[in-house]
Amino acid sequence: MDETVPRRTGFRAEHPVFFWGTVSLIALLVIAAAAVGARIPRYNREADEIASRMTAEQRRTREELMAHRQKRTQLAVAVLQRDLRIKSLETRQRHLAIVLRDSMLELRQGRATLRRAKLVIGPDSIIRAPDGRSWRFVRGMGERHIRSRQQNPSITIPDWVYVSRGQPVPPEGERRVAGGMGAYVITLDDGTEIYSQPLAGPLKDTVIPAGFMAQSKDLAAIFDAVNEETPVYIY
Amino acid sequence: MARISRTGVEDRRNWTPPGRLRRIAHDHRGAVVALLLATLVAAGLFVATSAMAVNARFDRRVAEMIYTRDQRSLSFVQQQEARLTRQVAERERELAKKEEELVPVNQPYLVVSLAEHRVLYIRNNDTIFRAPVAIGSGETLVIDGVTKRFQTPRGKMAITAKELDPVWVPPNWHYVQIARKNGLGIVDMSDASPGALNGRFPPGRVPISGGNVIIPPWGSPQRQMRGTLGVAKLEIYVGNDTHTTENENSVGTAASHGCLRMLRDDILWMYNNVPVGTPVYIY
Repeated sequence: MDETVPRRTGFRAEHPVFFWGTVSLIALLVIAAAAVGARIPRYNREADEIASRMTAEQRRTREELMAHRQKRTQLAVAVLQRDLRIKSLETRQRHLAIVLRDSMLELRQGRATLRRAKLVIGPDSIIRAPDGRSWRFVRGMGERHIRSRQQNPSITIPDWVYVSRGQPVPPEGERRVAGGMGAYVITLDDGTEIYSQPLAGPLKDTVIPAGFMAQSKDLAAIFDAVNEETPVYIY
Repeated sequence: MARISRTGVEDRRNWTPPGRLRRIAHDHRGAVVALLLATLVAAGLFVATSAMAVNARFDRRVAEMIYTRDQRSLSFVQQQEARLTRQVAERERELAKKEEELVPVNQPYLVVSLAEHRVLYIRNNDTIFRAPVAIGSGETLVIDGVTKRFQTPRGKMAITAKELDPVWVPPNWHYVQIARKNGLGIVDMSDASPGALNGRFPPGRVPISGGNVIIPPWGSPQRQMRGTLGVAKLEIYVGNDTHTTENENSVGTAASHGCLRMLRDDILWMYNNVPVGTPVYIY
């Protein structure tokens, strides 16, 4: 028989300095974040108080500065969108582009557009449940990749769908719907879904928040032309 | 102590690298990864909160400057804002120029949708021609243990040649298919001299003799078939053409050996309007 000596013991007991040092660092960072974060409402409150005492002219100056910053933010978004469009034009392999301004899904290869399809884009949304849970959906922008493609998958309708409609959430077993997201579902690496309009289930009438819904025939046309790892540019 | 295997060699499962940190990472990989991830998340949280706080504090400070009429600080902030905005606007202009250079203006291209069995001719984002096509059937044929699948490949190609009343030089699988369909044997003479079958078999026909289909030599008249590809063909690349068909009902379906078949009038339009060198995107 081979001789075996148990070598591993508990991490905490074996390396207490390493373990407690890291835990302390994490605790310190969280406490610091909480302390700094607690100041934000105070700063905002004080800024509002000062603003309330300003003259009309001073208020106008402040609004002009704010507008300047807002314009800069809009320009920064425009820069990002242009950057992504250029990336899309420079990408020689087949890829998808989602043009938010036109609500359009494009199958592209370099400078050529091979197929265009109209999209319904789900809005940004925050859903709050009476029990305190909340879900935040933000429409993506940037470079993604396809993580998976599924045909007519059975899905469990998420509980936030019912919460957002003020309906009671059925047990998980009753929420399973075959083809609940339509005939074609393309999931990106950040979890965003490009899917075809379902014929059945609670999602058949409205697009999911921050999701992209297309017609079934359009996704059928591009489904086999893309694969896992195909780049997707959202701009 | 390390575990010793039956051959007397130290078992690598018990091998531990030198160095304290490396040893810890090796022995407790899961715990170390979890702790590092937690540290990263906490650091990210701290950075994000700090950025938001700095922003809120800056807003308050600006409000103070305006209220206390601190003109010197205020004009500095305004200059900074204007400078940053100019920088972003400049970057935006640069990218717009680059995008303009990248966007094609007059380069037309063909797009073939395998799922929709159609070809589009696009110029300046306008579809100026659209027609149904038959595509590769997807059927398979096994020859000498090698499986050939009759499918139209996807990718970017180009029109390399155009030809009216084209001659088809069938590949070997064409003769194998005919032999199998009719329960005949095969005699492969494809490597014989081009004149080997002259006088015995008419040109442009499949030679059959003694219960066998004879695969004619490359370059022989028996291997040149006129009419099979219809009135015209556009060569996309060697071995994959767009041409017309005798079987017009197949157009719009998955029925070919990989070529794209089109109706007579459609291929004639393509022949007359699509120049050699036009890019072809098959998806």
